[in-house]
Amino acid sequence: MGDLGQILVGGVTTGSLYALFLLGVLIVFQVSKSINFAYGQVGMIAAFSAWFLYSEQGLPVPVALVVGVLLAVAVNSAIDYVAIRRIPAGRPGLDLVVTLGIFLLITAVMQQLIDANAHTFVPLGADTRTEVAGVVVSVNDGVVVGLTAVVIAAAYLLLNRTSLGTSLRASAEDAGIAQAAGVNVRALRTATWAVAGALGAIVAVLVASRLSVDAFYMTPFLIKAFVAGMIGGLDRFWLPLSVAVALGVYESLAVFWLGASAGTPAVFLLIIVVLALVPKRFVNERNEVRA
Amino acid sequence: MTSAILRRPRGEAGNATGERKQGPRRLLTRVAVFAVIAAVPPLLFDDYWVFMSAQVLAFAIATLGLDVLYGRTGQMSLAHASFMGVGAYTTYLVSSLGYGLAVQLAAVAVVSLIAALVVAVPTLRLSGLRLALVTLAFGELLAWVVRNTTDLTGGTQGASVDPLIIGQLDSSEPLHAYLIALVPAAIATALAAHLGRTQLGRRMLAVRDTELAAESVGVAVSRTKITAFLISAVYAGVAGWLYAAITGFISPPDFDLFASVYLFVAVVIGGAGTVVGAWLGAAYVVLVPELFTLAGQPNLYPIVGGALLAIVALLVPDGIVGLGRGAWRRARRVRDAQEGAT
Repeated sequence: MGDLGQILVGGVTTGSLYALFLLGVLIVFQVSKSINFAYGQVGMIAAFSAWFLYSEQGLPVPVALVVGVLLAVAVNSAIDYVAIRRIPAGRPGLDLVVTLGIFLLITAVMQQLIDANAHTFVPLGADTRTEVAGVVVSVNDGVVVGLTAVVIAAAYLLLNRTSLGTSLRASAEDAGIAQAAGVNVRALRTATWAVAGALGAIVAVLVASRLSVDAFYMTPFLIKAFVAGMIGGLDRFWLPLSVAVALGVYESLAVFWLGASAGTPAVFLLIIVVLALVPKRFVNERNEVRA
Repeated sequence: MTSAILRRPRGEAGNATGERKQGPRRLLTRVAVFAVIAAVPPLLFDDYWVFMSAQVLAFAIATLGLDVLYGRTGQMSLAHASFMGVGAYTTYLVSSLGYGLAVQLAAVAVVSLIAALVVAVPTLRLSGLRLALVTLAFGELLAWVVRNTTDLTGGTQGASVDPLIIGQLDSSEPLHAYLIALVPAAIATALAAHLGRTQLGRRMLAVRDTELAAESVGVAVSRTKITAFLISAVYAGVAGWLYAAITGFISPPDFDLFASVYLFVAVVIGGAGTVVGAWLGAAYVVLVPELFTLAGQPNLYPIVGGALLAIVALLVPDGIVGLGRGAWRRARRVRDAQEGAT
């Protein structure tokens, strides 16, 4: 039981990180109808440059982390401002192509500016452990789960209980009508990209503190968060986020039962089976012309 | 060949009788141009550049396949290099058992088809976005399989592939490899060019341009997308087969996510939706990294690739072919205007 409990704690923690990251994907998709492939790399910028600043340039760790997060916010907003917004109408799917280019660009530039090796990151409490009911829990685990719960609850309340949330949902529904009703759609859009940048950066820093940091470590993470989004549906709220947490638990269980290398094929199998079996109307986005 | 394709306006049926009369002559011109270009490397280049040219031929099959999927059908695959890897590793396994050309090709086709069916059938009955994301996971899966089957595939260390021997030809000789690669590359080009004239090719364009409208006129959208994916996977598999035979060595980084992205960059830069564009893309994806390496700046290649992909996709939707076509039209307009004046 102790073993299984340990696995569950690990799974829920990883799943919470997927969920927090996915929240950034969801708000951007719902307001801008775009997918950002470079999103994981935006987070990577925060963690990797923070590492560079404190370890190579001798900045205090908190300052380095704040600079990293701000950098990610700036880059994510710039992606929308410079690229996504300029996609002409009637070219659906181009957001994927353009952000794929940005993905490659960010990876290569960061590799060129810093290096291509993996480095240990500040543990942020991952090395301070206590035992609770036979299960070892680190401070980092607690921070991850707590932060995820608070941020998701806050996002839900913001979206559903405030006038800002109403404006956001209105621009997500129909930007033209929202604009006509006096909502500043462009500012809201920039704000969602900036907030998503901050979320991605925080998740990337937490992931780095639990593993290590290099120019590529966020890509497998991005894939899994997207998988959860695909299964749950990108235009919903609770379902994809719950799927993200469940995916973390599922992955941990697969690793526990089938061995350390079983995570990747288990996730692939899951997505294929789910997409093959679940009824079309349940997993598809609303059937609208994205043009 | 270039000018003939450039002159044909896309999506316009044109004047039917004129097309028919011009047909054979135009075809002859294209074959002649292809033959002339194909004769250049063996006659003028040294061994090393013939070797690079042979790789261009292999990659041309891959980009033609990706173009069928992305350029013609509008679906995005982020695992095209991984499907090349499926072909390459199948070749490696089959050839290490001692089988020759026919069995190798049959195995590559069958394995590519099965892998493509597993990826495409569940995802493509849904949206194209699903395909992009699942193919992303497929690349990870292939890397995982190779990493965890070191005994069978050589793992992360890579594996040496036995050269392909057909009669007097031995693919470890650059010139022979070039000649061997020429045949499948020519067949793949002819098939891809012909596809545009078939009903399937037109259905693909309809699906690309607007799915809703295509569906409303009776196009089986999912089936068309899945067919396109299967065609592109077999193209990639054959490209991987050739790549393994030509280079004689394969390893996981040749077929990872970045390799897939580079193929994507190639198709977009060359000009999505055209055969010429796919060939330009293949030349780009083989020769440009080589040029950067020769210039002593290999790290610039991914930076330039990423920037080009974003910029070209946004600003030059039809790539180099589109630029060429625009220049040609402008030139002709000037000429027509001058003729009108005299």
